[in-house]
Amino acid sequence: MDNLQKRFLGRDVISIRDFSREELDFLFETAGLVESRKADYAHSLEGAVLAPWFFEKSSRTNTSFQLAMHSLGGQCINFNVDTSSVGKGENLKDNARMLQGYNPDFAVIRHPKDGSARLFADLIDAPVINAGDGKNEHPTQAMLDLYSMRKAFGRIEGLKVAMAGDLKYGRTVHSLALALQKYCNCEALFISPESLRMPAHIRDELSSNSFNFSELGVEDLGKSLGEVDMIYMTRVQRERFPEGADGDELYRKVTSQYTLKKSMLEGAKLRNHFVIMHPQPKVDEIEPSVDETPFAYYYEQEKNGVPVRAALLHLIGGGKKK
Amino acid sequence: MTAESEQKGQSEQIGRIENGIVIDHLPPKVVWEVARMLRVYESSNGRVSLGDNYGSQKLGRKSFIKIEGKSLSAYELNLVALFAPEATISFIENGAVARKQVAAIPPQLEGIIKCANLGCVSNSPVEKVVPRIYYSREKNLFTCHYCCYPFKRDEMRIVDT
Repeated sequence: MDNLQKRFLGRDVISIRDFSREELDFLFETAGLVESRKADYAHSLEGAVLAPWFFEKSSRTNTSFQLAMHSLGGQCINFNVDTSSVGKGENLKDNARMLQGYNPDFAVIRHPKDGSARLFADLIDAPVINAGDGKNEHPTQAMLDLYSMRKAFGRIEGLKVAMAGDLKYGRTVHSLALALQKYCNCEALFISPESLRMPAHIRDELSSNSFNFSELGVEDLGKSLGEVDMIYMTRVQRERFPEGADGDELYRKVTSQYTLKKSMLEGAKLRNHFVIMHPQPKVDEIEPSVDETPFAYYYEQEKNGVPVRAALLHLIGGGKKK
Repeated sequence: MTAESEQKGQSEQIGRIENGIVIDHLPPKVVWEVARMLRVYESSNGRVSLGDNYGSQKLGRKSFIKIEGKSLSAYELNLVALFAPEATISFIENGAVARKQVAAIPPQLEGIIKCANLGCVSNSPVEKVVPRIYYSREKNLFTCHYCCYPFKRDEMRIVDT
């Protein structure tokens, strides 16, 4: 086992900050192998058990983690927050202690509170993977986004990426921006309504690492398309807005402000290989007619969740390949 | 004698102690927060004197705490630096200053200050998590162990006691 592989053994995945560029590249190379030589990894984690602990709704992340675990010969247990003791007011610490007692090999957690994945990892011996903690981070989404970029462009270095939409509450864009700064000469354009700008602490962190980015309002969405290699659209995170009438009003106001339209793409002088990505689910922020254009890469992107997550589990679990 | 030096003399006389700890040169108004954070009223049979808004040659205006019969660890006393980087801490024995400590914010704070991110799990009333905050002297920045949110001193809130 080489040194890079050893660095993955048994580790938690809480923040994309914790991964070096070298480690990410190694993960993507492994994901490429997992994807192209499935049979070699079919018994990698035989007998191992993954606990998908989702306290928030999920389609792709939960499903792709379970498919990834099955593709490695492992198993998943079922946890449904709607029928669990959480509904009776049980706190996360007690819930984590229960899971610790059942001794899974991996725990994948999604929870509405920022920092919940770190709390969980402090209480559970098994490696804990953050599948989204509040508005904070979603590191495995950033991993699959980077992997998708490698596949779409053949590289990550030097790409200029626009991130548009809800940059304040969208955890995927926080992790993606923090990940991009690890690659040379990457640049970002943050496009959002004023009330949903990239948080100051993330902008500060990017600036202190000399990452090149600029900010635009949503009215500049159309004209920014010709300036970038890729646009990463995000939906407005209604569930993270304040509750009540004020939150409803703010949500209505911002959702009407930006939609990526086919006419914008037709009117722009796009770069070669320009693509549109989206962490999904998308709602109204991309016009349905865009789905049929050659620029829509988000359906390919979501497929990449399985090999990337399988590679991650394989490396963390010290899986055996044929 | 000027009004300033007269007040300085007063601050020395008020609550004069034979054995204990004097925390001096706190900025005005923070004395109550420091006293609460150090829990100076707990397990102490001795006198506790708080003075606020006294004249000071060093600060212009200052506050101070004098505590008798209660020992505080070096870690606890270092917490004073959260409010007062300029504070002087003197250990009094038999009415004289036996030694002094310069307060410096500890690199790890457990259950002392809250994360400034209101969405953090450590601020959830349901979860009842003891906040753990790291302090970087180099960056003069606090960072939450759980959500990694960085914040400055002006966003700092002491945990409820």
